[in-house]
This record gives sequence, C-alpha cells and structure tokens, in this order.
Amino acid sequence: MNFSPLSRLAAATLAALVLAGSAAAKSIELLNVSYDPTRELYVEYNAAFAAHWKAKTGDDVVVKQSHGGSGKQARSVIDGLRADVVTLALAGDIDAIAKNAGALPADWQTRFPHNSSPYTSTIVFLVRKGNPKAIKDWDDIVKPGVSIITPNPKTSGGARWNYLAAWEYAKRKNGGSDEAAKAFVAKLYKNVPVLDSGARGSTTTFVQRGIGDVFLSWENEAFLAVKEFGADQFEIVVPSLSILAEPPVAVVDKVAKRKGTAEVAKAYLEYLYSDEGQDIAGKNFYRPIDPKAAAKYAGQFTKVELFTIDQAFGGWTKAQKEHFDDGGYFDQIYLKN
Amino acid sequence: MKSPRSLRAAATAAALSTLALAPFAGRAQTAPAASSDDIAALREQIRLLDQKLRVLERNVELKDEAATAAAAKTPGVNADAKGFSLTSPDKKYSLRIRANIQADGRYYFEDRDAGIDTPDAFVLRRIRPSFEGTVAEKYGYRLMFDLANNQVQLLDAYATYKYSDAFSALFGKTKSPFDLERLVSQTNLLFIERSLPTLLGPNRDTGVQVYGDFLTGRLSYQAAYLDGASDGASLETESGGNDGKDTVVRLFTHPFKNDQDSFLKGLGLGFAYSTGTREVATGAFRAYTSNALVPFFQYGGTVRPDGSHDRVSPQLYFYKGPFGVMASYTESIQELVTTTVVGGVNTITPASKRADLTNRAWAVNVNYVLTGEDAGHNINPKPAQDFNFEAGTWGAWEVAARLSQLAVDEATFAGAGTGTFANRNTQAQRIDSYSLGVNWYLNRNVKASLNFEHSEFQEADASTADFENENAILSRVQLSF
Repeated sequence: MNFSPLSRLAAATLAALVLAGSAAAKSIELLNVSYDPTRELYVEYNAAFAAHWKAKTGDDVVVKQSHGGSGKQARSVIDGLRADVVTLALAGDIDAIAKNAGALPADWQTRFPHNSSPYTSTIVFLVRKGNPKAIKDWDDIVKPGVSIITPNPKTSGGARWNYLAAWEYAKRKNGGSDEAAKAFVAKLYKNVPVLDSGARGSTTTFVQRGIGDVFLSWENEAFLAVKEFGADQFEIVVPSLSILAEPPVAVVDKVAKRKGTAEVAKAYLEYLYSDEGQDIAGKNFYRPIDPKAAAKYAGQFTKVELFTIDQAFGGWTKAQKEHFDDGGYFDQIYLKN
Repeated sequence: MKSPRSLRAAATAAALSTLALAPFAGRAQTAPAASSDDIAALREQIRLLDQKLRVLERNVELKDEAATAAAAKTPGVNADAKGFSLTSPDKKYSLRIRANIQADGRYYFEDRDAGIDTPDAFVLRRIRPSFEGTVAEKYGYRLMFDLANNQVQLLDAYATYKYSDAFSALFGKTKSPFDLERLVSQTNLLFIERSLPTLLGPNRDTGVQVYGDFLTGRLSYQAAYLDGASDGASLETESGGNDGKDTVVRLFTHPFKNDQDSFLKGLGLGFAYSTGTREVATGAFRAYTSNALVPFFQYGGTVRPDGSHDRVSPQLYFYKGPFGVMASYTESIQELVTTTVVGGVNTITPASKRADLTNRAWAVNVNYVLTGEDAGHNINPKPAQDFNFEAGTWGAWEVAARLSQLAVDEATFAGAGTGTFANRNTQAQRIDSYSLGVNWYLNRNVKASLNFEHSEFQEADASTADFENENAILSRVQLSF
C-alpha cells in the first residue's frame, strides 16, 4: 500500500503522541481507610510517601484518607468501599474484612514485619487541668460521680482497647476473677453518659463540648489534645497498667488488583517501616517499633506496664467473640445498665 | 420547644443570677447570709446541671448524626406529579414508572368525499406505560410500550451512556432526531394531533445516536446513524427492513438562553438534515393524513423507494411568558420507481418509471395561556392553582391556532392513465389546514383538549376529482404522570 506523504506525517505524529503519552508519568490514586485518630499521622505520612515514590519512580501518588470508628470502617470496606489499603485500630477488624468480604487472605498479618503493626500505642487518661477528681488509676474512674468519656466498643477499635485494659486491670487486682472484672467494667460504663461511634467523636465530646471528667484515650490522641488546646486545659494521667495497642495495616488485594494499584499499595505500607515512616509515627505520638526511632521518642512517653491482647485474652478472635459479639459481655453489661 | 443549648444557657443564667444575688438577699430579708459552703454547693449544682445539659445536647447531636447517616443509606421512594420513582442511596441507580392515557373523541362534519366516510368515534389514542432510569450512574435506559388498539407495541427501548454534558450516546430505538414537533413528548402536544410537517420526517428508528450541549447549553447537537424510516413512519420492521441506512444530524441553538434580561431569551433556532438510501419492498409508505387523521394521499401500490432519500427541516420556536410560537418547514426528496408484477413479485423492469420527487410541508402555530402561566417548548403550562370546583379555582387555560400545509410533488401525478406514482383522481395533491384549539390543564397530570380542524384539499392537474373540505372536532382527556 502507498500512503500519501500527508498520511504518513499524520500517522507518525499520532504514533509520537501515543509513545509520549505512554512514557509520561502516571498519576495514581490510593484510598487509605483508617480509624479515627490517625488523621494527622497520615496527612504527614502521605506527603512524605508521595515525595518518596515520585523520586523513586517518577509517578505521582495521591492518597485519599477515610476515617471513622475502626469497626465502622471495616464494615464499610466489607460493604464495598474501595480501599486500596486499610490501617485500622485492631487486627480483628481486618480479620472481619478477610472473612466477610474475602478481600485479602486470612494470613494477611504475616505480610509485613511485627504482625503488620508498624507502630504501637496504648490507652491513657485525659483529665481536665488540675485533675479535679484526683484520678490516678482505674479504680478512681469507677467511683460514683466521675463522668467517663469513651466511645462505643461496637463501632470503635479504641473503645475495645479501653474496655479490655479496664477488664484486665480489674481481673488482675481480683485474683484473676472474670466476674469481678465484669462487675468493674459494668461500674465503669455506668459512669459513661455519651457513647460516640469513634475516638475522634469522643475527643470532641470531652475536649470541645466540655463533657466528662476523664477521657479514656488513645495515647497519641491525648497528646494531640494537649498540644492543640494547651497544657493549661488538660493533663495526661497514665494508669498503672494498660494494654499494648498494635494497630495493623494491610493491602486490600481484591481492590488493589482490580484498580492496578497493588504494587504502590504494598510500597505505601512498607514505607511505614522506613526511617522516615517511623520518625513520622513518633512525631505524631505513636510508639515506633524501630529501636532507633523508639529511642528518639522514648522521652515523650511515660513508662507503663503494658500487656498484650494475646497474653490476656488469647488474641482478637477470642476477645471479640467473648466480649463484643452480639450477646457478649459488653451487651450483657451495657444493656443491663 | 427550646433546644438543649438554649435550655443550658437559661438554666446557667438562672443559677448564676441566684448565686449573684445571694449576698444581697440577706440585706433585704431576714434570712441568714449564705455561707461559703452554701455557695460551693450551689456551684457544684450548677456544674452538674451544666454537665447534664451538655450531655443531653451531645446525645441529641449524635442522634442527629446517626439519623443523617442512616438516611444516606436509605433508598429513596418518591411519588409526585412526575411519577413514581425508586432511587438507590448513592443516587446511581433509579427507576421511574410513568404512564399516559389519552381518551379521544372524533366528530366529522364533512370529509373530502373520495369514497371515504370517516366514522365518528371514541378511541383510546395512546395507552403508554414507560419505565426509565439509571444504572451505575452514567448509564440510562427507557422502555415504553403502547397498549392502545388492543395490541402491544414496543415504542422506545434504548440504553444511554453519558460521558459529559457535551457527549452522550444512545443505542436502540427511539424518535429520530429530525422533526421539531415529533420530538415534543406526546403528553405536551399543543394540538391533539401533530401537524403536517411530521408526515415528511421519520418517526421512531433503531440505531445509534450521539448528542450533547456546548456553550453552556446554547448550542446542542444530535447525530444519528439509523436503520431508516419512511416519511411519517417508524422503521419498517424491528429486524430492519431497509437495506440502506439513514444519517441524521440536527443542530439547535438558543442564542440568548443565558441572557436573563433579553427579550429573546426563549428563542430557539435549529436545522435538521437526513440523508440515506432506501431499498424496500412496495407498501413501505405511510399514507399522509389530515390533522384529523383522515388519509388524503397514498402512493400507488406498485411504487417503491429505490435510491436516495434526503430531508431538510429548518425549525424555530419562541416563548415569552404566556405566549408561544413554533414553526417548521420540511422538504423530503426521495427517489421512487414503479414496478411490474412478474411471477407474483414486484419487479423493476425496463419499463419502470423513475423520479426524484420532492414533497414539502410547513406549519406555524401560536398559543397563549389565558390564565397567565408560562408557555414553553415541550412542557405543559403548570397551573398556578389546580382545578377545584369547591374552591373556585380553575387550573390553567390555553388557546392555540395553527396554519399548516403539505404539498406533494406535481410530478407524482404526471404521466399516462391516472398518474405514474399516485392516482390523481383519488389522491389529493395538497392540503391546507387551519386549526383552533383550547387546552384546559386541570393540574399537572390531567389535561382536556378540544380542537376544531378545517382542511381544504387541492386536486392535481387533470384530476377528475372534486374534493370537499373537511371539518372535524377532536377532543381528548389525558392523564399522565
């Protein structure tokens, strides 16, 4: 076939445009579905990762964030929210996604170091300046007349950590009696006037609405409140015993594969373990797992005796079933109250 | 009822007032002065009261948030003047059920006396349920049936894809984007029957259409590649009886649409063009009928289209307040051929006659809403007050007048015998029609219409016929939603 010079020129121009287009930098969008108090952490981390990925591959990455109570967020992913990655408050919520949506394998927690938890945290008490109710430990908050702010364990991961920390404290104090622990936690919830669906909602209730004497808070959330509203407004009280909260992360394979983002989603979570990722975690009052970063930020955290969920409750699956599933201990306590 | 926030403010103010006045109370009365313990107790009471009200307020806030979140997940169910609809919580999926019932009465005083005695009749002109909506946000669908005349016809069946306001695509069967009045919905017609130019344009056709708006809605386009339909008719068969295809393009502009203060804001101007080839068997023509639906022209039984078929149609409308005018002109140029029956089949032979015949039609109609509501294109006036006999409200009333004409190419009747392509002694060459109408919009869903139709017929040259004028009254009660 003979084409005219004009046709050849048009074809060459078109081919050049196609090649130029394919060689151009890609723009990738990820959705990170996370729990309530990680907003500030991921705003800073997303910018750092985008710069890292751009330098490494030349591609632009925009990470969108979605926040809410951890259980509620897991429900949304199960119902179809197209998350590339989830960074939730507890492993049980990601287990639920694996089990109910089949969106990632059951052994997802083995994919990244440290059981896929790149940082840890714990539960502390945030009280009003001067600590007018003289709250020092768990026993003080269940006294009559003390108003406690904590979210709903049915929807909030942080609330489940709060609940389990109180349970274990009471159990140890009463010779390992679950009945005593149950009675203690029942007293605790009698003092709760408002049940928000997530930790950030509870922060609003305590900090902005001025309700309650003590807020059972994620450690990083308590630090943020003090930082934002001033040390003349609030104080952090660290109880004698608390729980080691290990918020995990995972790639949602089903979505990432479909969207073609599996590689960048994996890299996004891996980078949390990098020096920069760990430093950002520390700066945002999470406890880094990397020894170097942990040492750098050790000074800002009060030393506290911590127990793990595996040690005290036999893991999340068991704890979830016994305490938080319908008809579990929480329902027995709260519905009775 | 006071809000928790205002209750809290009132209670706090009352308590503070009590507290503030306490030191002075003792001076005016004989009661002992409040001790510091009393003041401390009062302060604690205020604090507890304040906390209780804050808790109440926050719980109301959370309840509202939960209600809002729940509402966002609840499918929408709607029933109003526009029909009955279901919508998914994310608005991406919807179904709307609509219907139109038209019960007509036709009364003929005279007709053109060509062996036709049109009976007066009550008829169900249209019984049309339709189902339309969206799937996956950008995709749309519509199914419309007609159940009149005790038969089921599938009139509209299509899927759409909307990329943007500037580009949408339609696949399936619906109206060809050609004739101005044909594109007006059956429920919004000014007169009971459409005017004569629609007899020269295509009706419904199957194929692909693309359409969209530019210049913030001032310019719209429609382009279609279709199976091809004869003048005034829908496509021959659902499987496609025309080997040739039609390409249709229509441009329409509202040049002053966005000029809020312009007198010409309601002006619309357009032009439609269709071109294609038609190669179908005999009997592929629809008879031309008067505005009272009485046939006045039909090609001969051995004539068939065989070749090009082009149409043009300039069109305009103008609406200002209760006044409206709409006009269109259509020209249809078609290559026809006569056939001879050979072995029971209509066959083109060396003796066949062939011609490009040009038929022309135009119509102008004006309308005025007596009760002052706005007139508009493809919408019925919305009554300011629905008809209610007891309340003495009468809905909206509109009067309308129309002039229209259709002229068949003189060459159609030329030739030996009674004419080459049509019988000059039984078929009229031209019709001039005069229409008067009254529309009563009882509410947005019920409309009653009364039309007087007068038509005058002109015979072809050398015709032996003497057609009388036709006078008819048409009436309609329409319910639509």
